[in-house]
Amino acid sequence: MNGNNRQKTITRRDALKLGLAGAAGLTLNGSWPALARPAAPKAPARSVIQIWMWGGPAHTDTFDPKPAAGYDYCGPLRNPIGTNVAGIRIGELLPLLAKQADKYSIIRSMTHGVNGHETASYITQTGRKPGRLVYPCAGAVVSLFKGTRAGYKGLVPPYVVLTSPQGRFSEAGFLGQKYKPFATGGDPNRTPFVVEGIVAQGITDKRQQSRRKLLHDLDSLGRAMPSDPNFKEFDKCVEEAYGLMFGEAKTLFDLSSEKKELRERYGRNRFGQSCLMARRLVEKGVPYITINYGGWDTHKQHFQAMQRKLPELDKGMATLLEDLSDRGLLDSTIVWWGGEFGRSPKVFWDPPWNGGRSHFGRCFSSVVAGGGFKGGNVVGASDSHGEYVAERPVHPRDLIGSIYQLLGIDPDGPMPNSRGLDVCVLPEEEDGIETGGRLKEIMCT
Amino acid sequence: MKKLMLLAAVLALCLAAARSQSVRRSPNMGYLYPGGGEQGKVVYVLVGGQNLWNASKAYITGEGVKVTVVRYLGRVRRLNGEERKEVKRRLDLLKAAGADRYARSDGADGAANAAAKKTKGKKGKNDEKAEDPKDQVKLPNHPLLNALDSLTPVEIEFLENEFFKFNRKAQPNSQIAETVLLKVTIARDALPGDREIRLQNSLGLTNPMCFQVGVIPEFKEEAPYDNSANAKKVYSPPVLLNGQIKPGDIDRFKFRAKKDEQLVIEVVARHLVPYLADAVPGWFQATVSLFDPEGREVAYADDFRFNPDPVLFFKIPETGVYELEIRDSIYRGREDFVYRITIAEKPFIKSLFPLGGKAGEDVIAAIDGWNLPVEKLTLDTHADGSTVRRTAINFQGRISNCVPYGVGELTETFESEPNDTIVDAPLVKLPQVVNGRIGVPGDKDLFRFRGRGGETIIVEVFARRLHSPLDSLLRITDEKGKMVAWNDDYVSKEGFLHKGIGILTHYADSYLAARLPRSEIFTVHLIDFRGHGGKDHGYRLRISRPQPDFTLHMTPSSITMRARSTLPVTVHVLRKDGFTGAVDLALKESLEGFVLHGGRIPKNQESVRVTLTAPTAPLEKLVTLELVGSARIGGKMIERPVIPAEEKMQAFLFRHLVPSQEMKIAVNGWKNRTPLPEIASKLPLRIKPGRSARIRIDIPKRNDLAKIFLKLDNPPKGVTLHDVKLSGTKLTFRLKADRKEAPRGVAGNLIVEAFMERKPKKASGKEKTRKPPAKPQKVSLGYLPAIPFEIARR
Repeated sequence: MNGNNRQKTITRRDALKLGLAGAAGLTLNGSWPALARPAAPKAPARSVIQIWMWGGPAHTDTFDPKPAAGYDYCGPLRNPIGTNVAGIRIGELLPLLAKQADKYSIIRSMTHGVNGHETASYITQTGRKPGRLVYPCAGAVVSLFKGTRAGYKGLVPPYVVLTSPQGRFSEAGFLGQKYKPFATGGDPNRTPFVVEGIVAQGITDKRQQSRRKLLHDLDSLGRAMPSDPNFKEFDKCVEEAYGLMFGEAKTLFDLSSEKKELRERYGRNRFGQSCLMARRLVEKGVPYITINYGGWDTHKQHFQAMQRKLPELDKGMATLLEDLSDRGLLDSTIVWWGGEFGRSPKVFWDPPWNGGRSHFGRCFSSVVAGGGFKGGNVVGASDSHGEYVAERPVHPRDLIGSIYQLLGIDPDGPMPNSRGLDVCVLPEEEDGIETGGRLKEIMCT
Repeated sequence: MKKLMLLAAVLALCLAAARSQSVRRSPNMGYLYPGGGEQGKVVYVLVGGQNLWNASKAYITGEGVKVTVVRYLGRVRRLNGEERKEVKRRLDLLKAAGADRYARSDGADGAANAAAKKTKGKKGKNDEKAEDPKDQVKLPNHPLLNALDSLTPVEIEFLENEFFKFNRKAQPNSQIAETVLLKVTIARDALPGDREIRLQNSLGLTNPMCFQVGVIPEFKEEAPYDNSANAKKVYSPPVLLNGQIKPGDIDRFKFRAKKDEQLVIEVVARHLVPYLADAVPGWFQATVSLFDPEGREVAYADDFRFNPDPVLFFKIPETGVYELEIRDSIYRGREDFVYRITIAEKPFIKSLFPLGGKAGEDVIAAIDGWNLPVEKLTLDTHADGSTVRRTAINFQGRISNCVPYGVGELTETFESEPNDTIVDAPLVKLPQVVNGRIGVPGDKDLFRFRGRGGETIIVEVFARRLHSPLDSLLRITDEKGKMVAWNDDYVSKEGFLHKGIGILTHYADSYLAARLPRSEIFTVHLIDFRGHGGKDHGYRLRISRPQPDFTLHMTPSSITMRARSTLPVTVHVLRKDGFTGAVDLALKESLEGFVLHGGRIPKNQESVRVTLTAPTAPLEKLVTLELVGSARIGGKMIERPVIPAEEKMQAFLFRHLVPSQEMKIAVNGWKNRTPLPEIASKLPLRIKPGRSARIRIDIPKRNDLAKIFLKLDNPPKGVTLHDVKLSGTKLTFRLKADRKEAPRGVAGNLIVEAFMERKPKKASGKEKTRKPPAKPQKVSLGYLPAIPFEIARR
């Protein structure tokens, strides 16, 4: 179960189609009701960078170490390190993040109790338990409230995933295709960063333009009915899609314009460069960026994987926080780190696991920074072994609700949708959903 | 001699030290290939597993089969170009000398040795260069490469296949990466059926793995590393084919069949390796397709009813060469995807009726299936306490599949149609077992019984557990037709641990315990949930007042201990019909020197960890351990055997207790007459929430033991150990129950491991300046006897 979340490879032809469809989605007006409540004017957060730790990172090896639990729980990682905030210690393989602890808060009492990837992914990203109706995830909700309908006029769609879609559930839910994320594909650590539908490898702009001309020449039906409103709308979408391909968007995804030293600081790997790309997208006002960071489903030989992955995480995330802060962007950007669950604090030493950790939804950690979240705090606590929530349970609904609130989205307000469903942004307590309340203790507002 | 003893002591200490710092390693087997052999033959079996180095002994259950370790083959190594050339050159030499001839035979010890001797003095094509020792390529240190000139034919085949044919689809799987070669000699009169093989090395005894003894000619797949699915050899049934589905593999076999032959093509795969912890689905899910001489698919199966191992029944329409294909349903594959396929006109029992009978009564069951030489079968019902038994047909050497049936103590009766309506439903006198069938699709079987208000009535279906395809749904209604209780499926679980039915994962049998609201006549309704039916949809329906009972399982079923050492094992109880009482455990026969501590499963508890202490001297042979559990139920003492089992995980989550044939113990080490530690405090230790209780244990005096460290092994939540004090032979400590966290009313045994601190060797010279002084290490002294405890409710 280790490894990346592999998706069907998208061909360039598919990508172009998707790009066009996506662009069409951005411009075509549906028959939706207007947003019931405008965004609060003084919302501190403008963007979210979600570092999605696909597979479920081990909370006890990252932000909730338990050195006293012994070798059966800690394995070789039993020397947590102090941070720049007195009293907060984190995993020994995160020394750079330790220096940024004043910028983020750790939630050590996340819980939902589900150990299946799909269901847990759904719960942690929608705040809801699965039911007949598939709800949109936080990214799609932010895209709804902060996207084109709210006046977003960015170069790229308002909800971007770096680099591959999550695939474990429908991100857009009942909101439909239009609110699905734009998945860049490609690898930002490579030059060029081949972004689906925008940057093509091995095809020059000139060749692309000639292809466009050929396509236009073949469009005899469109030429025959130039005044048809549908064709007009389609032509507009095409223009916008090509705008993405040849305009500023292309430059946006060109990481070679960044200083080499900065790129090195982020880490010359897919994750590190995704963090850098996320910062660039935030600079351009993209409201929601997910970095889909896989490889955390470490059932087997977990500690070898941690030795490999945690330094990568440390470099990328610490530099992102520092870079956002240095550029004055952290105050308006929420960085949300977490996976669908944590991992079993007790290590499975026997074959076939040979030092593995399994899924663990009963108690795990998330980290939030910026955008109105205070840094240098710890919310809640797990028990002495990291197996149970000991203090202040935080449910996914509480965390997502807090993020919405900081973005100026009313978590209790209605969620407009084309299906005419009378639904709220987040479930009510009366819906039987568990809640520990929003994270007021670490929210600036 | 003194030096030797000292060396042994130091070695033991080092091993213990290693144990204390890292994880306890135990040898583990993942598969045997082939998974069986034919009577009267010698079979070379590859074992895949982990921590198997230097495995020296092998054991098999039952009579008539001998098993020995040929060689530990280690892990597969990747060779560089020069090394490959060198290995190939030397293998060519062996082959040229005739080893290849042996490789095609059954193989015999020393065959290659003999071949190697023959090659001495002979030159191969390319060995001019190698004559000069300077030019010889140094091969990596590996058990197979170190013994290149004395390999058996099977080892040569293994070496060629594993070291030279790289499978790009293969993924690393440490748990099956090491290989051991076994030689299994099967006597002509060895009883056919399942056996269990265990290996032993310096780390201990492995888990048992299934090995089948068969009666028909067996072959191994010809090109195990060929994924091209091109069958060449044409087999003639009856035949049993052994193979492995490697990553991306599809295996094909050709066989000649005559018109009107009624072939049973039976796959045994999941049966051999019941659960895979790290795969979804959690076993090798085999599919078989049959192709006619024109290449058309004429039959396909991916299961037999609810059993994942498929069975095809096919009447041959035309004489010709047919082809059989086997693969994993979702095209997975790895070394432990081992299978055995029987292609034969063998008898195959699809159903029997009734599905059992009362203990001690004559029961003759009607049977239905393929190629059956008889229509009826006498069921053995002699009273021995077992409730599920198995039977098969053995007719002139043709042996059928094994089928289970039930044996009970209650009065039995037969269902008779019509009974689809309340009017037709017979009045059943309690307690009663009804043997019936959901005879046709949509059939309903109704039974009435007279119940008393306030009493609890148990209605239980035994069908799926007896291999009936019935997927039962039970309801109880009152005289007005109002539902009193219902149940579809029933499964006995403790968390993710399934305690009930071994390797069956279709929990289709219904069970309900209904408290009757008033005294009147109630009706039991039994249907197939899917609306299916037929004469194979048999059942045994128990309607009775509660018959409290229990079954016991003990894990693991292979134990290795040093003489006079103590180890914890777990005993699980499956409580039936509301039985909540305590169960006392004891060694069945006085196994000399073994001592059981904490042998009681307290009231209401689902399991207990007990400790077993080994005799004072090592034992040359493995010991078969038998435990019994007894409990007083309704004024009567009930005794039940403790069934040895292995706890296996299915697909990352669910765990199952898979029964083993025997519980085996190896006792090694050296004589140790040290007295056992004795718990001097009153037991069970009662701990109040928020308080602690002091315990005293008298331990044997040791001059080298100035300080002792204790650690609780898997304690209940909230229970901690404090204030360890050692004064002479008196060891005292306190056990504390956290007020909030400790579960009130929980009882069982606390398992405590003892450690001593060992100072590392002093650094000298340069080391002293370079390295910081090493920390003292904790060395395990072993476990203390189980400490019975109880957390008070207040």
